[in-house]
Amino acid sequence: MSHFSTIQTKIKHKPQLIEALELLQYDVQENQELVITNPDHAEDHPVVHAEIAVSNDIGFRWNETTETYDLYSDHATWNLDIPPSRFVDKVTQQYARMTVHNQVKELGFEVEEEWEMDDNSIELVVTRWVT
Amino acid sequence: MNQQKIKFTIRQDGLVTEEVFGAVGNECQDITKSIEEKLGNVTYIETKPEYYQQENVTLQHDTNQDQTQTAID
Repeated sequence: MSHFSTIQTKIKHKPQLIEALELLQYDVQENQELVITNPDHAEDHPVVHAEIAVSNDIGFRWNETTETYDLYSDHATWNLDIPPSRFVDKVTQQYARMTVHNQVKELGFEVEEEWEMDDNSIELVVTRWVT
Repeated sequence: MNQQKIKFTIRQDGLVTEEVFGAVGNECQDITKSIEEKLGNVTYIETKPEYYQQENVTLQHDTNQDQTQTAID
């Protein structure tokens, strides 16, 4: 081993985010207006533009400050089968997986093994031969 | 021919750890740089002995001793 590093994944690239959401079997729509039905918030922001939406009030918006795609939703009307924090984690994990797959392929590596561990982490081993 | 291997562990919150095997010198960082740039922020790097291994390079120690001059006013 000559190098060991840890990277905190940031969702910055739209194509991989869409790919990750589709892998998780969400119906992805681009450039949608999210309709906020919660009466506490609907008056202030009844309609919000989202670059990526997975329902009529859950989506991702580009954050200029952090330069990442952030989840935009209303907790009061959240209707997915997992809580928002777990949803973000799952999307981030799949986004990281797709990004690694795409990048190693570009570098000429081949996937040798890939499996899911008991703690739901994904292990991926890639190899290439060099002269 | 030399085999290079990278092992990734992608935690369920998206934290990625990567271990590079079979790369000499800073070659390993060149390999993973593009992956890291696409993923996000590198929070920890540990280099292993092979990182300091170079082909056809002889290390030379500077034999000049540091001299400290003290000025007395």
